Amino acid sequence: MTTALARFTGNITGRYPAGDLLAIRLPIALLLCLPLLAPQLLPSSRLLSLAITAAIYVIVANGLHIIFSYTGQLSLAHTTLWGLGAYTAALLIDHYSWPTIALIPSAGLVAAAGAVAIGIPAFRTAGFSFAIITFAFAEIMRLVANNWTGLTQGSIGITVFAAPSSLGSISFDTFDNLPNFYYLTLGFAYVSILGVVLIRQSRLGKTFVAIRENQELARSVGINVYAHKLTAFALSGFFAGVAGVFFVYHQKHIEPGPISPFSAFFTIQFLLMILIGGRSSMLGPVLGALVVVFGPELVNTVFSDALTPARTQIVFGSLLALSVLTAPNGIAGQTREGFRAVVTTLRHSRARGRSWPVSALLALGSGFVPWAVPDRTLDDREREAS
Amino acid sequence: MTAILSVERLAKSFSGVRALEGVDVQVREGEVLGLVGPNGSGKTTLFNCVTGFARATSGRVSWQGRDITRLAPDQIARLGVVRTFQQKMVFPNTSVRANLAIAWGAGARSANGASLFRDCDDLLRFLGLTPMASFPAHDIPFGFARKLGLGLALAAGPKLLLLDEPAAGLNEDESAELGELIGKITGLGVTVWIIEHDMQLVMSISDRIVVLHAGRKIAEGQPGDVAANRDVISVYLGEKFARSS
Amino acid sequence: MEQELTQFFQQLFNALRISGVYALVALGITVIFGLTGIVKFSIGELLTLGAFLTFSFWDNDRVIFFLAVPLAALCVGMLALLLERAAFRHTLEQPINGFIVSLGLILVLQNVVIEAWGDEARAIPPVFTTIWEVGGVRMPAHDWFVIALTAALIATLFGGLRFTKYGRAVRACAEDREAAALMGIPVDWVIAGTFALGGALAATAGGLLASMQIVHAYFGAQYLLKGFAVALVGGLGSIEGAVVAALIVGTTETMAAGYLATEWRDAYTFALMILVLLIRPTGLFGSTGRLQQTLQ
Repeated sequence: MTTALARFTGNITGRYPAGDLLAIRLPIALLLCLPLLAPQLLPSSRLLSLAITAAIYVIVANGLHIIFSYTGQLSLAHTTLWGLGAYTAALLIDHYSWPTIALIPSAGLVAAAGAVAIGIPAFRTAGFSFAIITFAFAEIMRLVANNWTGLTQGSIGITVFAAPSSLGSISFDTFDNLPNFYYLTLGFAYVSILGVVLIRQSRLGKTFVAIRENQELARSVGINVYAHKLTAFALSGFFAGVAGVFFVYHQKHIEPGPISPFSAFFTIQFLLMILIGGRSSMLGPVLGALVVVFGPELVNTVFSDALTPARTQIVFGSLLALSVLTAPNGIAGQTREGFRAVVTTLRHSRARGRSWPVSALLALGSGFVPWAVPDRTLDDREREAS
Repeated sequence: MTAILSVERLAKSFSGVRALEGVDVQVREGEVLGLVGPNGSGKTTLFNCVTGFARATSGRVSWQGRDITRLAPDQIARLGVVRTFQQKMVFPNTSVRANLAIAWGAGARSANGASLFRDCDDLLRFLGLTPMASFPAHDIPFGFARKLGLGLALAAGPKLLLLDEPAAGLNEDESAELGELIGKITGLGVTVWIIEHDMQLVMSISDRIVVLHAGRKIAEGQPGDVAANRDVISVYLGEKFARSS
Repeated sequence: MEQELTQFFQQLFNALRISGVYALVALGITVIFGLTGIVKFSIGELLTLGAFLTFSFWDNDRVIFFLAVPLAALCVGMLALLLERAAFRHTLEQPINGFIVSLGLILVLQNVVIEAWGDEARAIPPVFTTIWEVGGVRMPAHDWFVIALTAALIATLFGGLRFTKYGRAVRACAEDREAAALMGIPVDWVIAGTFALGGALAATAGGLLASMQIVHAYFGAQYLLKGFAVALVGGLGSIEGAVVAALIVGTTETMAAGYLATEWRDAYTFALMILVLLIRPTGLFGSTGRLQQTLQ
């Protein structure tokens, strides 16, 4: 834990040059703090509601990140687990009026259990088979939600007018205290980011990545790949389940309809977020969520409502296809490449004795023109690999 | 000497092709056992069956008295039987040190308590990989990647190490270095079973050799005896040479 | 007793009808997979597109139904070819990327349909209105027509793959792409043609469906899944498997839905598919090789 924090703040001596701290970590930290100002910055409560949606998406996307980006398993049941968490929360509120503090772990655990239930048969295969089986289970869950009317009220769904339990005098009611609710959701979004970072730094996370890189090799050194995949899946389900609680608080309603968490629509949407944001970065899901939620908003503001929901989907679908074809590492990856280009060019230029202004200019240029990047030397690689 | 690994009447068929038939091998504790044979004779298949990466059609594999024939590869590895791979032998996008760290945590080292090395840095030094510890594994020269593959198996804390053609693609100097390294490994108490085509290497480091041909064991014994064995010569060089020897 | 027998045969007839449609979709999926290892999930939307195009061409008998369907199939086939040239051909090395691309295409195609046709439902009235009754079993003539047409198409496909030069080229490429290329077979175009074929098959299924039920922008998805289940059960890459599996799945599903709870209809097929994937991942007729590479 302390190592992770130390690494984040760049305090491990010798391995993180000061330039790294100022140039990368600080701006990222500042950007991450920006959402705290959202209630002040965003003019309308509709936009704040969108921000809440984005925060919820961040939690779900971070869950998908664990199973898809780290462990390399394409699960098409992730958003259904989100819906499962939402149903759990809705039912517990409706029947037993459970407080938030009990709902969050419960929904998380139910979704995690669902993940394990799916994973036990599904992880006996891999690749496409795995993806298809998860898809089949997702569809089955949707059917269950639709048909088990005794429990789920079928296609009508469950409506609950509830808000998170108040903390002393602080109310989180979405009608009167939307900013408070936003901060609560944002808080959990931050926690989910922290969770993803900690998992990645931990021994468990590294094993996940090892499984993605070379499964047979992992087996040969004694790693129980099956158990680890199940664990990754359960963790990702937990994140999704928790997000489901906030979904219910926000939307007040859950049903297995065509634009619900139980639909292929959201499955593809979240896949898009991960791919756009970048699979190899811990901030990828965040970036992806922001693009998917605020991108259409931005376009519509600039081009006065040119994007209908249908057209938005066309754009997203094309983006998904394009990003797989051209930018496998997403925005985060491209930014990192661009950044690396800038830093390397700067160093090389200075090493050749050019003055600061000229070097800076060249460096900025190389950030935009990727083929002007000088080859990395051994020194550079050593610097990068740490 | 006691046999710690015992392969009894092992057979393996893939859709009609009999890759292995009636193979009996005993690996003795502390030795270096060489496994040779022409291409396609079933050597890697034998390794796969022993380590759980392939399912034997019939026969039995026992490790320290325990039947491991039907166990999963990771279970077998945790029991102390670790193999290397000829290709895709490292985790490519992870640094060399992190590669070892991954294998370090998982293996028999924790189960047996006794560790071969103090920590990953110790292992890095042993392998001679310290200067490139922070490089991503896909970026290091081939010879070093081979050593890293070997290191991964060592990090898992093996009592029996199965090396699948570790010298393939290495030049003479690198092969000699590999031979020394294997010597050091045996010195640590690890039993080694090695598949190799590099005859010079195999003859020099093995205590005994087993020869496979077309899925069957055709010879077994001391390197010198095996080299003079008529069947072995005929299999490698043809009948003419066998008759003349 | 007689009533039960009647019901049994009625179900059997319904099953036959639906199996034909499943077979077409499954064949589309399986020929593409067999050749390239790419799982083209967007084929469901090509089916939807086929249905809507057929509807537009037919347009209250402006063009007769018999022509509208092949016309639609042709258009969709060309679209599929374009998509292959533009997008899928870059994913041949990493088929899972092709899968993700197809997911994106689902969104694109589905919403193109919504933009162009709106999201109300459409239907084409059946061409033949006579309903034959044999021993209490109702068999609309139109359904028989669909069954016959489907059977004819499948037979043509089999014949084409076996006897024509193109068919041989496809089989060669499916076995060993590099060797085929070395023999002078234009592998790129064979692959592009197969994508077009897959699209055309799906579109035909869509057009036929438009005359059998109500179609709307989202209706392709369920046939995608069914077609997929069929292709998997039969063995991805095996056209014989696709046909046999279509009959098995169609019958199982219709029988189960008829005798057990109907609303779980889809679940029976999915359960069957999951079981097959777990027990025999290569399906009934599938072979290892390409399947091993891609499913693992």
